[in-house]
Amino acid sequence: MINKEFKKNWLKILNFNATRDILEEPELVKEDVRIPLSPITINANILYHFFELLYPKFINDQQNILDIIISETIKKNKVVGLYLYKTKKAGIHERVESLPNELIRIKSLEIDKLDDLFNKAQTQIIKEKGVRISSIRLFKKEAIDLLNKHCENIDIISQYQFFTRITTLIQKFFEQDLFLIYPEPTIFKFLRESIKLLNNIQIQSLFKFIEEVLPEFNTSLLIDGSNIKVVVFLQKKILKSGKSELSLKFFTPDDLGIMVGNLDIKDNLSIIQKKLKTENTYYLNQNDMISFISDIFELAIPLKKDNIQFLLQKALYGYRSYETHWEMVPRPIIYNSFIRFILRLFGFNLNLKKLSHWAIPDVIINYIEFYFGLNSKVLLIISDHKKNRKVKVPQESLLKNICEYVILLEFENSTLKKVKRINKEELFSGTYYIPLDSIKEIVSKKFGFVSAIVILDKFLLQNIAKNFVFGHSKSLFFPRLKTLKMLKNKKYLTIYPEFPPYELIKRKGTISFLKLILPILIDKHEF
Amino acid sequence: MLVHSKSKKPEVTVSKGDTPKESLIKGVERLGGLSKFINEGEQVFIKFNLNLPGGFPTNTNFDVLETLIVSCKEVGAKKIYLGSFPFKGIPIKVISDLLNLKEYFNTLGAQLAFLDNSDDFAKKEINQDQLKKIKYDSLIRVEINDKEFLIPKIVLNSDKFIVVNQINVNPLFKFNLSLLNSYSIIPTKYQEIRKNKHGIKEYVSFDQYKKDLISNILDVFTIKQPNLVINDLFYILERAGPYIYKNSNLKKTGLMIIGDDAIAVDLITSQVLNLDINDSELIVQARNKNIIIPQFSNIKVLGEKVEDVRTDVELCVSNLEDVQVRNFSIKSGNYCSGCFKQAYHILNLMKTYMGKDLKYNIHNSFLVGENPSESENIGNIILFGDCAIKSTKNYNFRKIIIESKKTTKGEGKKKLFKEKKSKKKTKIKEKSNKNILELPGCPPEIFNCLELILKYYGKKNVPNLNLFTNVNSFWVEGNLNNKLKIWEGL
Repeated sequence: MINKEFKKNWLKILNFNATRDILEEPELVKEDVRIPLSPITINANILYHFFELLYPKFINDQQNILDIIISETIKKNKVVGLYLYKTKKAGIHERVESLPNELIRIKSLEIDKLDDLFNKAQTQIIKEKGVRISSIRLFKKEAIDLLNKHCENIDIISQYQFFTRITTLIQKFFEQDLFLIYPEPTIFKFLRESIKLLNNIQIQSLFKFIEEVLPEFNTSLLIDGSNIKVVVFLQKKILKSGKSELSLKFFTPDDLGIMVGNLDIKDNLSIIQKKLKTENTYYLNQNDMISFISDIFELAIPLKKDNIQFLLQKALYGYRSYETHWEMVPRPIIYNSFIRFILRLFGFNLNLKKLSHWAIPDVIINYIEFYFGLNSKVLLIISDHKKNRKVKVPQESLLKNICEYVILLEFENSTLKKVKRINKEELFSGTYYIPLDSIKEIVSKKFGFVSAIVILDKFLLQNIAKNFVFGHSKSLFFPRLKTLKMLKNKKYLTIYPEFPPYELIKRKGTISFLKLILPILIDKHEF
Repeated sequence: MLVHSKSKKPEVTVSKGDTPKESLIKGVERLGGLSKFINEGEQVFIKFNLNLPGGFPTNTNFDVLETLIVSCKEVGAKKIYLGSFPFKGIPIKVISDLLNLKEYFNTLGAQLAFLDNSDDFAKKEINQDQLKKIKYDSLIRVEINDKEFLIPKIVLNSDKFIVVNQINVNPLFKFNLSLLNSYSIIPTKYQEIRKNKHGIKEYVSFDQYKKDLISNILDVFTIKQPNLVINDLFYILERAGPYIYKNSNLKKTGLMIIGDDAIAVDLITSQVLNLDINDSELIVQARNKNIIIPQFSNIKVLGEKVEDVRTDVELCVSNLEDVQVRNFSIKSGNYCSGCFKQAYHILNLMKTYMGKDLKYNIHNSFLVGENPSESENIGNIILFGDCAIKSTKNYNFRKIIIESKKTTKGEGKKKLFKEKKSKKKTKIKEKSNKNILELPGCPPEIFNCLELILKYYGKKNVPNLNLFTNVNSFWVEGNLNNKLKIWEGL
């Protein structure tokens, strides 16, 4: 019933997990498996540790799981597969036992009451097998069909194709309730609500968009955990054909011939950088990463103002914690004391270790709240001017061809409540270009008063990603200045009507604007 | 005296819906439809909340206005004007440009009324005589209770007058009710209460400011009573208001209270909001002015039952100390409502936009009103308003006593010559304390105060306030604002 390749790989994983305890030095095992449902190969021992670490944290921290596969019919659900995983450690799947389908009978109503179903299954499993299960995973027949389709040629597809496929799969699973877990993990709640919020927007196109915005990069991470250290290689390469290629690889330090404990972190990072030939290498603490990710998943969707503020604060705090929570090689140029001294002489206090993580989100949110309002509708248009460089249209107008995505964001009490993708044909209806006030009128008539239209060009986003995110450690003074200047160019960023903070950005010189906001972005005291 | 004289029982509808549009349409339908209020070919003036160039709920919900405009057009209104006088010193044209209002209303088939003529004086160089002519061509003097008010002709000449009022909490009147909304049909400068005939003591102790303000509100209300009043409670701004501050919260009730009698609508609104009507100074003074206040039993309430939709709302703080501004010790003496209102706004602005500035400037005192208690801090002292400035002239904090002990010979010399201990002379110097910022005015003006605070602390020490004033400069300062000042002074 299940895809052969998937099954083969899964059994290989189970086999390794079952025999791992008898191995003398499992860290030295060279056995590779694929991460389930993906073409990415990984050392079986690393995968073991991932399961050991992530499953209890994000899915269920108790032992023994029952997988139920059902085929939905009109009146009752037919169990078409029943598998029991007896796990010694939570999350470590070792052995799977197929149980007779007749063991559990499920009425169609019971799917809505998973707690009843769980209790029923629990009673039966205790009676028949003498073990207590801690959770049930319910797959509908369609889920298995989709999984099988997803797994077709999984070992030979590119990683880009894999991400496209997996995002589609996840979206379908949640939209159609094809896969359920009881007790429901918070990550499921988060994903379900996020997909609901995205409305008709496909995660796949969101992924495609993010991938397009990302510049070419070639980096590696050393993730340091108490049980295991993993090196992750990440790369985006743009091929001659114009298509891009993503690469995600996992290594053990042993694979790279490194003894992590023996050397200083920075020396290790330098070796990794040299061996993998990456532009830079980061050192991240596994617990910090997990804590941040679990904080995200624990947030209720739609995100309230306080939660957004908290998340932003945490992200900024993480960024400012260089050399305390993370490290990188080569050392970011901005932490060079001489450079900072020179900048200070010119009136720029740019000590990123003093980034005002607690104040920045507050400032941003207060201005947005005042000018856009606590309730507002903002029309976000993502444009791509590169497509039509030569075509000139009036400044206050929008060209049909450059319009890539049109999204209406609806906020209620500063909480993003609705996201709606609008077909650009609805805006243009036959015309080639359209003034912004007409767009506002059209959308307001259809969806209610639109407070503002924000047009963001992909090129600006690409530049921000390149010069500020991926190039944060480099000395890109002029490219950064150029990117900041792009904020003033209507071609790359338009806010209609122009609200005063944006007017300030446009009218002030880039340098004097930086001088105005730097004391807000950076804390005052150096100690 | 023009009194409220409706012979029939006032009808008020309490409507609830899933969207503001639905609540409005349902409510108006229950009252018999808009055609009951507007005849074909009539000119309609819609008074709405237009305060600042900000988003909802600082100003009225534009979805509600759109629904109303469309309905007015459907029943055959010839012309529909919308207008209001905004916050002091801000021309309507500035807000319209920032929010794109003129164009928006035009597309709906209505017109934004530039009651302050700011669209005219924005066009070209205009001299004072021309400005004066424009002003008095558009305004009309109305005398009532020995007081003179300037009212826009467009409001008086309109056949029908509709008030659409967003309910937000208000530091002086608990809520912005429709009576208060109607007051901003007169120019902002004339809305101000001028202290002239009372001595300071009486003025403050009797809170003459509030009495005069209420008296003016009621007088203006009697000049042109609305034909239809819509109190929009669909969303209520609670905790801090009526503008958006750090502590503000939007509460969704889904309600709208609509009727043809402003006082009846406000009474029912108060009841829904669990306010004791006897606490409302507006209503108490209205009774004294012989304005008929209908009994609850005489109001015909349609739609939802009041008991079923009662809502508790968190009001604004009633003590300035409760605003809780970081590193600020707030000392209040006896103040009038004028100072209270302005101090409330300035403290909330500081709390909202000066978060980081307040963290780094420790030890501050904010003294307001007559005879506030002495400041315990030797840090920065802000004296808010004329009362605080005058009544603290002899306070200890005004002077700093510096004690210095001087020896006849230096310690080094003393050791060198092994002399007996020289006698230390204690010198006491009295210096005037320079860490005092006086914010004059009765009551002081908010934007002036912010400028003075910025100047006092220095741009480097208050970067957030510096950014705030830079951003605000687009609508607080400028040619149009200057012209508005001249226009007001004519």
